[in-house]
Amino acid sequence: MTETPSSDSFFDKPEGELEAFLLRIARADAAPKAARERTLQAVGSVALGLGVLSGTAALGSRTTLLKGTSWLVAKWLAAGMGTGLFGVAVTQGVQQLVSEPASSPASHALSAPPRTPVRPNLSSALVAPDSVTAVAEAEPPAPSATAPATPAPATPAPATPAPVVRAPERTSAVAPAAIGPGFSMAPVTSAAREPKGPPATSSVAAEAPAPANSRSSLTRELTILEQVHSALAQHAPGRALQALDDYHAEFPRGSLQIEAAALRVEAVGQSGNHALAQRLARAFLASYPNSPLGARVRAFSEVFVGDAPKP
Amino acid sequence: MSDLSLALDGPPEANARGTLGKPETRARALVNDHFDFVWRLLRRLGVPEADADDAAQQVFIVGTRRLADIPLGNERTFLYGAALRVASTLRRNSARRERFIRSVAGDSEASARSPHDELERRRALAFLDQLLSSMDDDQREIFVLCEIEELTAPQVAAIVGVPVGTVASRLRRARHSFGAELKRLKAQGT
Repeated sequence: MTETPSSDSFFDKPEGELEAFLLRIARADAAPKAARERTLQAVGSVALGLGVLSGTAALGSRTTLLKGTSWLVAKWLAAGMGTGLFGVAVTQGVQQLVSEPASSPASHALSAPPRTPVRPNLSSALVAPDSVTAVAEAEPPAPSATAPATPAPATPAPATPAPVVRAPERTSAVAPAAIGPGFSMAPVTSAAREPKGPPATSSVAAEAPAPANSRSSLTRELTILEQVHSALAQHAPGRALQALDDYHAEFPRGSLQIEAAALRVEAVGQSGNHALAQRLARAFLASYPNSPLGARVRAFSEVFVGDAPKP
Repeated sequence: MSDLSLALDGPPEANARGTLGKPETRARALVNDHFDFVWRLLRRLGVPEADADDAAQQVFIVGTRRLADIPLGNERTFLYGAALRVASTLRRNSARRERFIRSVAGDSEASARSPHDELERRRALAFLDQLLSSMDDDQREIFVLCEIEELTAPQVAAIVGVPVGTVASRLRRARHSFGAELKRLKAQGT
């Protein structure tokens, strides 16, 4: 590291020496400490989800989901089907999901008695169908989903999507996605908070993956999620969770995984297990940083922050 | 740099599942053990400094998600492979390259080095990156892994996913191209 020449410039070295010098400098190059810390945070929150996930065995085909080609297929499907029934159906589903005022699920959760013991089945929220996320990030982010995106300095790799904990000084681009230190669910742009609106729905439509989903199975998926939704509306979290489990049993690679994951956060919260709900919310936000449902989940999990977390 | 052993040394069956304790612990170890390597690799593969932070994070998040699929001892092979893909994606965006030039010029990270040494170091790295950017991507990957990370040809072959012979031939061409470009720039007095 102290190899810098005392002469005017390294550039004056003879070629052979210069080459060796450059390589030495490069080998000694190290990452900034802050970068490592941010990655530790991000990884910690992802691993938290995986930790629970590894306890549930229901995920036999997870690895195949993650294979390199699936996201390409998913992207193609999502792009090609944008205007077809697929898009319409997803949009319906999303509208259904977002049409409820953001405050209401929170009040549900707080008022609901913890009557049903919640099975800590995190699979739905945490089986990040990487193909899904890949599509989400492969597509140019919808203007509403991320903050006024300058050529987003973050979302770099379509091939390896991931949530990103940002350096504080660069939060502007995709601020809503950031999970700050200590899980501060800090400043969210109004665009990201806004749960309604066509851009948001279309963005989710683009996110929805649907490897090999027929129209009828999509309808079936929607039906189940509607059951979840109505169970939640009736303050029946046990039934909602049961329906979500059914959903995952029937559609381990369903097109509406993200929506299911968001609904699970609400269901778990409603059941009274606020600590788990908060962990799920965090995992959701980490897995789907660009999801328009993130605002809803975030708002929801914020309710639990002031709560004494009681597993 | 002492633990350069890639998975090639370990039994492939030694899969992580169940043998490694908590995933969170392993994920953190992943970052602590390999962050510098991944970060440096990304930088030398052309990821701008301003983006290297996020890109490295992506690599490790992918690694964390796939933890159960990474055999013990194979972590670096996996992470390097992921880093190559991330870097390759970023490279395609030429606008970022422009930004890179500016970021090198205007960056001022706090450092224990003297301002002069630090400036010199940054200039040297920028110059090196200029040399590297003149290579084909294929050659560049091999060159960085062999010459900067000092991995062996079989290790590089495992990471990049090409035969050892291909590594050797690409490295030869990369070295030639590196030397020629160095000579050219020096003659040019850039």
